[in-house]
Amino acid sequence: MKRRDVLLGLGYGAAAAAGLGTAGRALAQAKAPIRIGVIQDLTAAASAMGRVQRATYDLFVKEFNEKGGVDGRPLEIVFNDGQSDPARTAQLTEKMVAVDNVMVLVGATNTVEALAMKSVAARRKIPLLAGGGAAVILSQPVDPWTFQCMGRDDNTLVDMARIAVEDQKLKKIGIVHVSNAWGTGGRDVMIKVLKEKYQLEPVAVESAETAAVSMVPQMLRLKNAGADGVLLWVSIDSVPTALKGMNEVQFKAPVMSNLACTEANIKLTGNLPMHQISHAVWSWDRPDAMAISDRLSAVTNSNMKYEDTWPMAWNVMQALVVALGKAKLSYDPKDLAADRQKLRDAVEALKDVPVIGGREGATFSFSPTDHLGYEPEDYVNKETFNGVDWKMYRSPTRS
Amino acid sequence: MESFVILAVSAISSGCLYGLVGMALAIIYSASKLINFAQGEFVMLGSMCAYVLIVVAGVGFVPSMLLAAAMVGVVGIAVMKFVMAPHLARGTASFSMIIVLMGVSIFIGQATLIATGAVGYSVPYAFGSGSRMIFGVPLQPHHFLVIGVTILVTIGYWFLMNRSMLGLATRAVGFNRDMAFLTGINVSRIVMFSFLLSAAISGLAGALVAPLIGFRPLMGMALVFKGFMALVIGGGFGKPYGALLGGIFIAALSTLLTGLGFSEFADAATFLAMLAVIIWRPTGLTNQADDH
Repeated sequence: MKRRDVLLGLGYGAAAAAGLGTAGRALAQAKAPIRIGVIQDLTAAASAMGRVQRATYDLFVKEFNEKGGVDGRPLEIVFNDGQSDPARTAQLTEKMVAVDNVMVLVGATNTVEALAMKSVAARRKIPLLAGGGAAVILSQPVDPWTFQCMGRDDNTLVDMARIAVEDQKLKKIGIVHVSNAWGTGGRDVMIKVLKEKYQLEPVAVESAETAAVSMVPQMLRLKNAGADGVLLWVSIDSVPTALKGMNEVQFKAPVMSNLACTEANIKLTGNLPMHQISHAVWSWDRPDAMAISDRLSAVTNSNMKYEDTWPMAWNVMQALVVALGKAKLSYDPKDLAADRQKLRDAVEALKDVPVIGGREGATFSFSPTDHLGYEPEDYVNKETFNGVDWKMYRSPTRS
Repeated sequence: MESFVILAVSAISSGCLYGLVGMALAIIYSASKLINFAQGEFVMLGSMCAYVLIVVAGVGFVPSMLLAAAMVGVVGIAVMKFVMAPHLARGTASFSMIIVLMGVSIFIGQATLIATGAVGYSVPYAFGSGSRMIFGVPLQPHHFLVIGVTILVTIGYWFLMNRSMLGLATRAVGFNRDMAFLTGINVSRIVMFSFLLSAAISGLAGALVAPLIGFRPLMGMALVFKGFMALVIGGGFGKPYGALLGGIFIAALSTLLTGLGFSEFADAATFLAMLAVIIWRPTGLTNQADDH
């Protein structure tokens, strides 16, 4: 074959590929979209997370539609603001299912809203891919229609105990937790891990109400019990109150917290060592994730590099589009209920879908007995030491 | 002994904050028979003013606290003049006005949330972050500021209500609005004064609590809840110091249980105490059964 013919052939091939791409995009615009019902908080307490998640969904859908969509159909987000209100969330979910005829539900920002969506999803028989809320509560016991795509708190708690005992060599550990269900659940895991893994009993376990104006009594109890370190499991708003309590009673000990290890907070403890261990889907050491975070930073006009909310949202959409590709849906409005069932089955059958959050190579798999996408070995915990020095902690089960 | 003093000072300080919020609730109730659901947002605005003045503008704590009270007082007047006054003039039912105040609460909270985001902002203590050795015990001086300001406000409020014509008129309006009107009292002005005073005290409480828990947009509701409990337990609807004593009672109970190693039961015990007071002494600890 002459060189000229080869070049011509390549030229025709490129032109055909370009034409097909254009045709694919045109086709995607021509067919009816696949509607995804999303609830996140744009207002109220959890809005900081909700806004990031919404921006992530929007970016994913925009980029995905530009590539041609699923079966030539674009994705379309039907969005609603849950306002951290479960009753409102339930109503909006009903509306999205019954009026907007969405194919699948995605959300929400916090646990109570996600539980409200879960309830509607089960009743209306529509798949829900949850990218927020407490993973264990949402995924256990297994509900046929709900699939959890974020990390688990108990993994964070295991790492908090590990850093306290193995790295910090602490022997007399005190626990301070918030008095709600999340806090007492975390307390139980911490006590169990200390006892079963390290044969340690906490020297004091103290509860604090969610809106305490002082944690002096709790910190004094820990100090008087001779605690040499603190496992702190309180809400983000209560972290400064806890640290001020420590400072006030002159209780000098390292703090392992799940939240809010900032320079300002560390100053409140009198510059004591403070560690923040957060679960699971942080991915700033992954080049593929950082490329997405750069694009997200550009559209949100903020730095998403150290933000750990967006990978959860990205994971949801990645799992969803793979399932949509495999579900063989009819897209006939009359068959919406059957299509939702097919999509649910496809999500449940997902195996080893690559996701962006967690360690490099992390994947999602679901089964009829496991609706939690992550495997424990895929978690990456972040540790902040002194609010400045960042260090990645691999999950304890990962070699 | 050292632990006891630390716990006692902390409990009294926390109780004073609950008491101030309870007192602010009682003031509006006295003049209008309304429970102001926007009271928490007034407290939050006080914290926000303190943050802006102290952290952003570099103003000292005490002047910031007074300015916060004045600024939130102005907000209180605005709420009264533009939201409540038309309803009062129309004779809207109390229940409807409480709903209106809930709307004000949601509006202020959400507007602040949109403006500042959901994050918390730290506010420094009035006298530095460390504890000082006072009588050989390490104590945070801010607690004494909280206690001192609360005592001054309580005394001032008592004098205002019991030794001035304005206080007499306020009590008269609260007792019987129509009769007060017939005796020549400007009822709407009295109610406006109660909003001003109540909002200013809330602003003061917000500035005082800011170094303890920081400022965040949705902080108010939990404090108002505690303030309301203080009011009910202490019987502050009738006596200015009732809310203060109720607040100290709540905080002392919670601190005592925590100090004894029963922190898990502190919340439940507080509610149980309120329930007990409502059953056995409905007018509160500081009132006689026939006070109302």
